[in-house]
Amino acid sequence: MMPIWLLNIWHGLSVAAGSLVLILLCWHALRPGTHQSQAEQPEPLHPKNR
Amino acid sequence: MEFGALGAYLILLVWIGMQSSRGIHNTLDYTVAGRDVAWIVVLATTAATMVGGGASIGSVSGVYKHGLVFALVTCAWHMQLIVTGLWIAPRLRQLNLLTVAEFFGKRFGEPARLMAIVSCLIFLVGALVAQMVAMGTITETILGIDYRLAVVAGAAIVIFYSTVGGIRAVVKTDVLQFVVLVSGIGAASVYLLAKNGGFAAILQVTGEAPFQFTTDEWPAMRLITLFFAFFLGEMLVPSYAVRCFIARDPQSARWGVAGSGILLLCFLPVAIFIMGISAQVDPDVQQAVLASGNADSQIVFPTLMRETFPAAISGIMIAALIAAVMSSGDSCLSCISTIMMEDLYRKFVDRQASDRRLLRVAKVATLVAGAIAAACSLVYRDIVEILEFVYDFWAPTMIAPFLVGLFLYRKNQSYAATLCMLSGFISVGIWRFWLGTPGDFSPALFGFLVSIIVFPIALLLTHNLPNSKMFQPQQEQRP
Repeated sequence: MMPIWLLNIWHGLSVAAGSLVLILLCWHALRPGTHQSQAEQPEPLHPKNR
Repeated sequence: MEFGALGAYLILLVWIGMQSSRGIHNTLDYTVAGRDVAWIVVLATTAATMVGGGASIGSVSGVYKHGLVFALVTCAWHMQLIVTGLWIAPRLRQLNLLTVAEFFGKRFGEPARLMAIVSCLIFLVGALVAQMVAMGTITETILGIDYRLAVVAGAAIVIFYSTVGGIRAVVKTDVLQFVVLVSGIGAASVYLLAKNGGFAAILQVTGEAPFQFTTDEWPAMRLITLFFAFFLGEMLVPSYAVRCFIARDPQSARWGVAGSGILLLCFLPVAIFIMGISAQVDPDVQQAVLASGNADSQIVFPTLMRETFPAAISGIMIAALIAAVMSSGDSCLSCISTIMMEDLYRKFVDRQASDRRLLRVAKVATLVAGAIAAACSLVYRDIVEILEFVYDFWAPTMIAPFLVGLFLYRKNQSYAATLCMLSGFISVGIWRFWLGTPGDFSPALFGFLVSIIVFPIALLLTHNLPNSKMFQPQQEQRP
């Protein structure tokens, strides 16, 4: 049987991991430059890049 | 209230699709988002794709019926992402591919490429139909909307934003779906655990059975074979491979894909375990499952949401469930359209097609494939059966030559790789349909073992043969 303390730790880790990634996503979204569209930063399309 | 929350969410998806269409200037934008996606976004879109109908509704039903053992088996999905991310994703990103089949063509020639196209299409169409079935089932169970109407409406939204915005829309909606999913499932696990008084209190009610590592029905051997079947079943499937192709650079591909595996391994198994055992101690859910006459029922998760939460929160939960399904479905749709455009149209119909024409082909392919999948989901309604079928064929046909092509590639392997793919495909068919899966041994695992035995033998017999024109690795550059 899986020990209860291990399940509690796993659940704590679960909530912490989910929260951390959501915070990182917010940080990424709010960072200046994230919303610049491709059209505003034209890049030459080398055949190898395709 | 439930309808309001869900309606607002769906409108937001449509708006994102329309916004994304402005950033589409060429096929590179449409199929691989300009190969400019940051690692944290790769992480979100990969995780959202991973958590589909099987990993949400199917897993909670599995825990409801089998206990912790099922949650532990699902860890294989997430570990697979970690392995793929750390060792495979950077190499795939460096190759600047558009499709998985292109990789097989460049390594092993035309026959291997054609087999890869068939395998990819079987997997993607099956997975897309399964997600659409899940979408209809959730909406029908929770909101009481007619299944057909739910499938048609849900499919219309997914098809719309995937068609107009391509992978850019898919990635953006995935990020939204990821946020809703993590918040919704995370909040539900905390709320349900608190409501039931913690693991210890649940243990008092259920007894030790659902907390065991193995059960009479699921002995260690079955657990191990299922673990490997789950591990291999989704490895390198097009929906994940394209997450490697869209990353900004090899390191973004590595940490985006591996990060999603690490996150999901920490986050999801314990959350679905809490939901599954909470359903076991909820008399309303038990009654609903009994009334449905099927203990394996896919209605456990949706019913639990509806019975547990007040209308406002259950609206968000419903959105989270539908998000899980849509984000997996849209990825399949996007990959199908890329295969149609690159592997079929440009290869067999018009080799010199302009980028504008290819873009139009990809959009039409998205529309048509989505409509066909929606029609199929009105006929086939068993998610588990559909997913088992597609998983069984993927790994035996694709994994061994894929890994050889990435890590142990030599130019004299074309015949061996093709024979390996063929033997894996045929052996699964024999094991599954002719012999009826003897000893409950996973067909995927059986076929995979056959393929890895056949490859070295075939290589030994064919490595000195010169490659015929058809088996020459393809070096073609796109115009």
